[in-house]
Amino acid sequence: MKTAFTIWQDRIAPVFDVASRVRCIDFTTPHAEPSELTLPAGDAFDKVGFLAGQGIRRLVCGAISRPVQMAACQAGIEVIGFVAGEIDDVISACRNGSLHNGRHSLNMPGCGCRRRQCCGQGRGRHR
Amino acid sequence: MCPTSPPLTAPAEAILESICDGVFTVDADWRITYFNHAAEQITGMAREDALGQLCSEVFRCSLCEQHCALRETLENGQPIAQREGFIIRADGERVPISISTAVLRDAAGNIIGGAETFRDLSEVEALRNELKGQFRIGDLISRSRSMEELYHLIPAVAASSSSVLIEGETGSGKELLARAIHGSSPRAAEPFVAINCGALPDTLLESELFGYKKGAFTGAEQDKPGRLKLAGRGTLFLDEIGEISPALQVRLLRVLQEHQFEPLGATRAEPLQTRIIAATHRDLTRLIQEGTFRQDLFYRIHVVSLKLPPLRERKEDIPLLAEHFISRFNRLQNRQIRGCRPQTLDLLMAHDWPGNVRELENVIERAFILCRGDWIDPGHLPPALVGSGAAPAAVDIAQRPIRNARQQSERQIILTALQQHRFNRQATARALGIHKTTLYRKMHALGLELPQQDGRSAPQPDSDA
Repeated sequence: MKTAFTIWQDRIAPVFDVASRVRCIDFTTPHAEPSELTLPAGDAFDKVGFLAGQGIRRLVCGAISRPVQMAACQAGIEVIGFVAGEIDDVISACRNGSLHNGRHSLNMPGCGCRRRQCCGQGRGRHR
Repeated sequence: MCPTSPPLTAPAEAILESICDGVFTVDADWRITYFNHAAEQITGMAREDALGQLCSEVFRCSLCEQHCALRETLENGQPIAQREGFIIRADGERVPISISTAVLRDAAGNIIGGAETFRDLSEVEALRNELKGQFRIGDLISRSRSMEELYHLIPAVAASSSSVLIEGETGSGKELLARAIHGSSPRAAEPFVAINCGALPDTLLESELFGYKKGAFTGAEQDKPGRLKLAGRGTLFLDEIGEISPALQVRLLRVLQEHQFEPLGATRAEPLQTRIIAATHRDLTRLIQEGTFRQDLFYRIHVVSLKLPPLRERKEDIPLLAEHFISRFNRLQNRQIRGCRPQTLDLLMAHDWPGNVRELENVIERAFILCRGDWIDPGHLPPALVGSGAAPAAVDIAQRPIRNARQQSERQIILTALQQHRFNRQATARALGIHKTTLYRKMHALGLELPQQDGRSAPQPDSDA
């Protein structure tokens, strides 16, 4: 699955809605080299559309507002939001599956019980 | 305060804990050293979770990454006052705030960190919105909770140029929503061009969309610009997108992929500058499964998807919409009809509205033809709404049982909602789609006692995580 990680100062960017860069990794391809993309400036929905157009199917990010998260879900992107930490630690956690199943310590402060925000196209927000 | 920071004096701490503005301080490593009570309230984060953490990951503000006010203050020593942005709480809610910053120095004058105060602008925003009639964007009007999310989405959707898919039943206002998005967008001054894909045969639809060049076929005596060209830098609204043929779906997909289109008989493609908003009353995912709609086209138009609830799911909007249509027809027809009688409103509320908002508009227009007085009576409504058993004229407008029935019904609805929300009046009013003062007024009129229990202190069963 092609996964994008928002990045700022070598950490997960604090707010997806205004993030400017993502690091992309295709975990289905062994030893795939990560690539970096610049997100469109301004509107958060354009960022979602851009990622969908790049074939991204999973987004790991910091805080993300509910409408934007819904738009990502509708565009077929699974969102693992409210993640914090060094980008390499987060990628490792994603690679070994602990980020996906929620058994990790990479949550943003005050977001200890959060797991996946939504999964797959067309699913509504999770409570 | 954290041990590395100078301790606050007791009076200073008491003041900081009592004010309504959020206050936090950071050390030289951008870690939170103090977080007051208001900061906990506004961010929804407990102090113990915040202390010692990076401020950008606690505060989660739109300004953090590129316009951090505190960073600027620490770099140039100048305080910043009331810079506006938003924070994102753990439940995904955006909270508008204004920020002010200052440098923290020790007794010797050395910089030891920074202080940020922030104010929750939600109330101000709500008041601004109320004054502006935020629940009215373009001709789209609502006060329903089920429409609230849609209203919150519109400004953000309007600001982008992504394709939008609007789903909703016939008559639910899909074109109004498309116009509202266009009207709120930077393209508002450009054309809004609408075409109903289900109303034209395939060949005609193709030439309407793409246009043709002189001599392209027999009878093409001059160039005809298509709707894509006519829309220019504006918005093209493709209504009933689910009705287009597979061949035209392929052509449309190419337009969306390559951002250019070719009029019939043209030798050169023209750039696409138009924003596409598509709408359908059909379930496109089912059409994809049946093989009648292309999946790739679906994903192209489905970047943002908006769903309009049918009128029967937002009945609290009926009085508002009826009032809106009465006001509009008064203006158009130079009439002075004052509104609907309560009994008329009861009948409007009792109807299921299979034709949605359009049906309601038609009912009000019909009533304008029949009504010669100041008020729309039940007798001015179509027989289907009044009930087949009684002739419209036979309905007594002063019939008390109808009013009693309405009061009983209102009483039951309000009581149930109050219980569901543990007598939190704010949450109850929100759930009912009415203002808190309206709820108080209705409770008073219906003789409902205010319970001693304060719902604000009790947890809400339906609150988000």
